[in-house]
Formats: sequence, structure tokens, C-alpha cells
Amino acid sequence: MSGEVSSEAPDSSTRSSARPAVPSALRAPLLTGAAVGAATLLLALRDPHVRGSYGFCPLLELTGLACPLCGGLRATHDLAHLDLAGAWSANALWTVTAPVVVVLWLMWLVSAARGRPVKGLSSTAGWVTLGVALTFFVARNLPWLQPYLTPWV
Amino acid sequence: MTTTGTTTETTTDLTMPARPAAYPRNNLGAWSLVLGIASVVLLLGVITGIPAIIIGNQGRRAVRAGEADNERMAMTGVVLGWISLAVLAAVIVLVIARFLAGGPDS
Repeated sequence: MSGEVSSEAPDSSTRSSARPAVPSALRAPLLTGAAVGAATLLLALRDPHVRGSYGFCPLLELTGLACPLCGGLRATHDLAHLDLAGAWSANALWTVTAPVVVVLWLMWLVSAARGRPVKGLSSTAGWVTLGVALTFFVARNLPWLQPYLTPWV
Repeated sequence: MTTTGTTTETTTDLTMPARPAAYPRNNLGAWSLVLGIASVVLLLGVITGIPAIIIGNQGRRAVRAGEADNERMAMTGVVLGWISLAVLAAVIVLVIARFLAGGPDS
């Protein structure tokens, strides 16, 4: 009898203490989602294909080099309009990465909603991302790949 | 004698599982360095430079809290982030100077 009571008591106490903690844990992923969603909506409505509509890139202006993010705004606009081919020609890497980012955000939201401790991305993921971005950066500035990966330069 | 020996052994055994991963927040310093390298080598500048500074400082805080041991890695990320800010400032000056000298054809 006493054993049953003591085993139930901590269970109910952790439940009551976990309840109010959930909304504050959800705040960060929801705010991030709202900010990114608002930025995407702006990009979908105000077309970044219009030259100078979002200013200019100092790197492209000064050196003519396309960084790994070049064409990212146009690709996001095209993705928002479900134009996969347009997005691919603007920034192939971002076209592939954007869905991964959405999935990672959903995983963050789910683990926050379930009250799990949110682990950051691993060091290995960081180095892999850097390697992929470096490869893409070199590839899109090579003369024979430029027509495919950076057609506007 | 034997009882004190066993108690010291059990205490050392109990402290071992208290730290399953020795430094669980080392990924902060690594990501700061990744973003710092991206800002300078990939020419992304402040786009990844500012996150490198923020995450690098979180990583240094984690080192002080005993949750990470890569202080140098985090510091390098922060420094690279600040370098990207300095480069942006220089570039802005350069663009303005070029525009004033050569006109709008630049």
C-alpha cells in the first residue's frame, strides 16, 4: 500500500510541474517560424528577380564572384511559387537545403512541444555543411560550370 | 581498512555515470568556427559572421560552465566573425569611393 502511494506521488508532481513549462519552450521555435515565414511571404510578393529590388551584393559588384548564397532570394521566391526549375537555376544548393531546414525546424518544434531537451546540431553536421558549401562555391565559379550553376554572371 | 577502500571505489564509480558525455556543448564552439570560416573563406561576410560571434560567445559561456572544453575553437569563431564585420566596413567604404570616382557605371 505505502509503496503504491509513494510511486504515484512523484509521477503526478512531475506532470503538474511540466505543464506550464511547455508554452515557454515552444516560444523560440514558433517565433523563428513566424519570422522566416514573414520573410518568405515578403520574398514571394516583392520579386527579387527585379534588379536592385533588395539592394545589391557588394561581393558580386566588386569581384564578380558568386558566393554560395548568391541567387538565394530568387530561389526562395521561386520555391514559394512552386517553380522548382527556376529555383534550381538560381541556387541549386539552397533548393536542396531549404526543405532540410524546414524538416529540422519541424523536429525542433516537435521536441519542444513534447518537452524533450533540444540538442543543437552536431559538430559533424557543421563540418559537413561547410564542406558542401565550399564545394558548391568552387563549382559555381568554375568557367565550365558557371552556365549551369550561376547563369546570370 | 577494507570498508574505507570499498567506499572510495563506489564513490568513484558513482561519479562516472554522472557525466555520460564529457562535454555535451562542444558543438557550439565547432559551429562558431564553421560559421566564422564560412564568413571569411566562403565570402559570406556578416551573414554568417554575426551568428559566429553569438554562438561563439555561447560556446565560451559553456566552457566556463564546464559543459565544453573548446575555448580556443569558440574564440577563433568569434574573432573570424569580427573580421567579417571589419571587412564589410572596408567594402562599404571602397564601394562608396569607387562610385564617387567612376560614376554609376561601376
